[in-house]
Amino acid sequence: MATKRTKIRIPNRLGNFEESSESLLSSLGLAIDEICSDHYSKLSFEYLYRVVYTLTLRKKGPEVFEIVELHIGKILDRRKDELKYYEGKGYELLDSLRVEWEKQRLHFKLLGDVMIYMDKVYCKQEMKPETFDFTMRLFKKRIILPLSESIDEAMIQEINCIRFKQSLDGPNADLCKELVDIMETLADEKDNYFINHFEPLLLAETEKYYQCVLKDQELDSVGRLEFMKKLRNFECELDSKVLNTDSTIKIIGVLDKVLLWNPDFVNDKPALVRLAINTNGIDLMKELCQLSDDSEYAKRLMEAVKTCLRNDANSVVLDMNSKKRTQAAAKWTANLIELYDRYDRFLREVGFSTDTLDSETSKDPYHSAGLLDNVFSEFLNQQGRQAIDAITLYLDVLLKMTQPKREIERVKKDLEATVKLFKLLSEKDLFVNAYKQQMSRRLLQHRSMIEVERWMVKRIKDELGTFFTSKLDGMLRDIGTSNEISRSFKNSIDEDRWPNELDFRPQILTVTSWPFQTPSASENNIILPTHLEQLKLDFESYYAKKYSERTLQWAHNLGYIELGFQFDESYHEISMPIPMAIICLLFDNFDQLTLEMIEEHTGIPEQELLKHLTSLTLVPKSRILRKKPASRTISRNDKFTINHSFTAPTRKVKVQPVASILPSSRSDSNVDLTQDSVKRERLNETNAAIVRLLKSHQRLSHNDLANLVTEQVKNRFPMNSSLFKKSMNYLMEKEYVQRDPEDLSIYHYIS
Amino acid sequence: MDKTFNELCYACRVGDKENADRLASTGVNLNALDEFDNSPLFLASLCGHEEVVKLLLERGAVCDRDRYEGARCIYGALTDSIRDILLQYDISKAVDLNQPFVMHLSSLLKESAYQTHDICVTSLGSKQNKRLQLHKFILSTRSPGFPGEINFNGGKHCIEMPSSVSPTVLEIVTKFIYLVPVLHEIDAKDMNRLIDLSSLWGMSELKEFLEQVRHVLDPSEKSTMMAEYQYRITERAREQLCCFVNENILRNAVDAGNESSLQSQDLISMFNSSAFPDLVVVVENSHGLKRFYPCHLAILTRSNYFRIMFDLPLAENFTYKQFKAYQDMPPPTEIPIVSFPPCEFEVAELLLRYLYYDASEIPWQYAMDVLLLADHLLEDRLKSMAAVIITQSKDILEKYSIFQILYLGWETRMERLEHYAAKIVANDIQRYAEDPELKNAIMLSSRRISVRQETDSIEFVDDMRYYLLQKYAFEPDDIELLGEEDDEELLNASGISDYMKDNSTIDALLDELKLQA
Repeated sequence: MATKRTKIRIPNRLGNFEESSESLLSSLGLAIDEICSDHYSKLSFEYLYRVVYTLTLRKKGPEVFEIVELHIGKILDRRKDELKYYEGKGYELLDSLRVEWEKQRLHFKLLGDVMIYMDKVYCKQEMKPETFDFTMRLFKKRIILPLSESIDEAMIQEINCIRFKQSLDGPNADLCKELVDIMETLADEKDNYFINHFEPLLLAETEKYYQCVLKDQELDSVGRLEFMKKLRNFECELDSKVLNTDSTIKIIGVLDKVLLWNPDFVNDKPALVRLAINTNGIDLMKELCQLSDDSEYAKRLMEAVKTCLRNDANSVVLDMNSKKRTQAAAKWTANLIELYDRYDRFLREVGFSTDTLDSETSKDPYHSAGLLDNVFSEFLNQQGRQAIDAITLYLDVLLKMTQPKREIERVKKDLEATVKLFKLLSEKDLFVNAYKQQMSRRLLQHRSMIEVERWMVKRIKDELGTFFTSKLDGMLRDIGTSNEISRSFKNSIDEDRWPNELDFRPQILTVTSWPFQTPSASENNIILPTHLEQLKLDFESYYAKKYSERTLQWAHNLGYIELGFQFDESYHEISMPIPMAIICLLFDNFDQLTLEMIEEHTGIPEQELLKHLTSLTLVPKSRILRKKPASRTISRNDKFTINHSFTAPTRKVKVQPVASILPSSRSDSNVDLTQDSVKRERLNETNAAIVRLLKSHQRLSHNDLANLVTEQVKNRFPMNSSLFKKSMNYLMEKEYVQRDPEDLSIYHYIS
Repeated sequence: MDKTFNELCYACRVGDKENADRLASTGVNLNALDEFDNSPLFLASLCGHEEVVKLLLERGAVCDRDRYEGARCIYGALTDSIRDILLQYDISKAVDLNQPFVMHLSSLLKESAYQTHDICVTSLGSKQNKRLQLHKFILSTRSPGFPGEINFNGGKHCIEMPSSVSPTVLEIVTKFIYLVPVLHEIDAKDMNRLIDLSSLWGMSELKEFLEQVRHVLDPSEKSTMMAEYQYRITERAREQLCCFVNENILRNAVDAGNESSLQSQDLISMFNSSAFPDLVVVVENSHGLKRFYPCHLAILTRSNYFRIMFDLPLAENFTYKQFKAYQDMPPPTEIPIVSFPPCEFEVAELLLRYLYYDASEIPWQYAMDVLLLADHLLEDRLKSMAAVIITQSKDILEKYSIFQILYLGWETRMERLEHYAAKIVANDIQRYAEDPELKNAIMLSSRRISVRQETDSIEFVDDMRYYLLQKYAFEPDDIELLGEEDDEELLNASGISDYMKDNSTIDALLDELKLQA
């Protein structure tokens, strides 16, 4: 065929080497020797390139790399033997290794450029490493690996030496950095020599080193903290200079493990926290926090804070049995609030994040959200009723202080401070009941400012919810309307029919709102002095005209009368419950009366009468009547007269019904009463919750239902199993609910 | 020129980047229009050939949104990514981009790694006493009227410009000489000086441009004019360099005959010639004859091969530095000599032309040798161009067998040649089946595969089967469909029987070779 006319082996002609491949390979070998001994300035690139080109075209790739390995290997082995001399000499070994590395790398680079045609054609097609990479591997194989133990030892020694000196001055750190760079350049099958070989070793050695350092230290807790901080800062500095970021993080992790969990420090930590809290040591606490972001560490630290707080709270003692019950309660509550505020301020200043996010989702391991509240709520609920009583008493004290119309803002602030305590109570219904009792008394006796009362009820509403405050609102409303009615009643009556020097303030209470029992019939049988009786009738007719559908019942026991009287030594305005006042008023007409006579003139049943007379004759503070004979008990034949020698330090005197002076008898009956009503209310709540839940779910297992109900009533009171059972039994009896016939743990709603 | 332009338009339509590159390097006007008023850029962007669009833009094709041509390119772009590329290369940028030889020349003005400059020019008024390090051969090529006092002898020289040439003017002129785009930098106050100087130094295009542009006020018209002149300047530079190669390098080349080295006096006269060489390239042809060319390292370093050679601290680098250290003409033994791989002189000269001014017109007779040479010298762009010539030449098979082309394609890793060979063989399979070389080629191809990667196909056979389908204009599915037909007439008419016959010829060959593919 014509096409075969010019049959030329073009490649061989271009390569133009008559020489055999063997001789080419050996001249390449010689050139490698020359390069590696720095005698390359006489070598011709043109010649070498052509040698490599020809060998590539002759497909002698494997042989070429054999030659490269043979010659480079021989040189590297020799170098290795020289380096061996430095074994055990630490710095010198590393330094000579670095010098060797720099030198050989230049050689490898040069060789790689000479072999570029081989790289481009043979290595790329056969997916072999290029010459430079190949020679780098040789360096690792022939120098680094045989010396690896000595190198490791020297490196660790150097690094520990730097750590010991705590100084980055001098060439040591730079040398370490360069060696780390070298190790990172040496590729392994996966990643590099540093990551695969040296890093694990370094981590282990770091741990060892720091354990040793800490063991030998005898320091007090603050000193140890300082010491640890110093170590950690220096290690960070060192690592950021010598290592890459990933390794730095790992090393610091190891360091933290050693430092933070060393037993001395773990034991010290609560003491340090205590110290920080006691001395308001914001910086100390900050340091403790900044030591680590480790979540376990943070948890422990916060646990320590909690323990401190718990101890502090427990050391605030409440003695409700002392005589000065009110003062004790007020002091206790005020102390708790002070404690709460102190910790709150402290944690804020330390920089605990205060966001109310769930601690799980919050990235910051230090957060005070919940910490204070958890501990306080735990503490308060341990105290049970006592805490509730103390807090309500404290509130009562505060609210009564509002009457003089001064310092209202300060009182409001104190009230506000109390809010954060009572909202932590779990038996909120009990709290509100107690509060209601005291509030009713304050309102009826005008012992506080109505505005402040309103404000406080609003705060309670904000914190606890509307269902607690409807009755409180009702009470306030009654007081408001009573004032209104009282004024318009006064206007409706002719001036001359109004008794002289008499102030009349009717208070109309809605039965359901107030924590009192409906007045008994006996109260209505009380015989009032004529002008009072007239006023009563006038008001009754006025009220019946205004609200035709409503029935009015008088609760004299709740009412007060203030009487002015000139005793021998001083003039006093004495305020007392209406029945007592009526008794006293009898002495306008009589100088001396017997018990029987009083009963006859007032219509007060004997039992009641005895109580009132006890208040008026036996209680030293309010001994307005004198009894004959002057014994400790009252008998039917005793005679009573005005005690003209009565005197008191203040112009106004208040005669308390005897029950409130003798706490034991009164509170017992009262507590039982409120306990009963609370129990009833709780049962009702539970019933309602169960019905609501079952109505929407139709069927639920016992456990699920119990959990859901607990959740629903959580804001009012803590659920317990006996209450739940009681409620279930009631509902099943009433056939709202029935058990599943097949699975007794499941309930159905019966519609 | 018209023919080249039409070829370029075709390459743009089919997306043949290598060929477009080669054609663009012939100096054809990339912004010209064909008989239907299409520009090459419009064709490439309409047909969706992103790589070709990029190439054209890099080589100086203009896409001016404010003109009909440019807008048409943008609206006609097949894909969004092409449109984005066009928008990036708005005219303001297009002026700066140009032919590869231009960019290389421009880079010489800053380049200092090899210290190739041989003349320094200062201007009197220059405050910082700024010395421009320049090349005599470029000055003499680009500025025929450059002050005659350039000493044509070797060694280093300094020239001080008269005070009439201000530093700014000198800088502009120098940039112009080194083909750094400068037209938009010219300040009106330098205009007169520049015109005088350009006429004095024989830079006619610059003079012409300046004289015209001073009367133009409209910015759009001005920028159009700049683009046009930039093109003309480039083409003029190409001509000048072509001239330089012809008249100074080739004319001053010396044949050494059968002697291995050159006579000293020949070398000395070569260095005293107007070629201003700083090294000598020696080429040995197939008859063992040697020819010595006066050349310039500044230009040779355009190729990777020479750049590596002079980057490395080996003998060549050493020799060149020593040579440059002489103040006067060094002794002939110190003159650096590098050699091209052995090849015909014509081939070596093609390479020189390519390096000096991007010459891409390679006669088909030499294309194979150019390809090999380019491969040897790591010059990938020239390789592609040579491969394009081979595949487009109608005469190549007169001189070489298709298998030689195939083997060369393997050797130089040019897939284009592999596909070309497969296509040629497939189209004439019945004839080639007689050629024992085909079996050999298939054997070789199957072995290549086992080396490269473990797949059970023989690339050359796959390629042939692909081109067989193309030959009869079939899709792979068609074969299955038609295979079920038994209407003889239909089978003949559709060409399926011919296809089957060709295909079974290949199968028979494979059976013979006990191969599967």
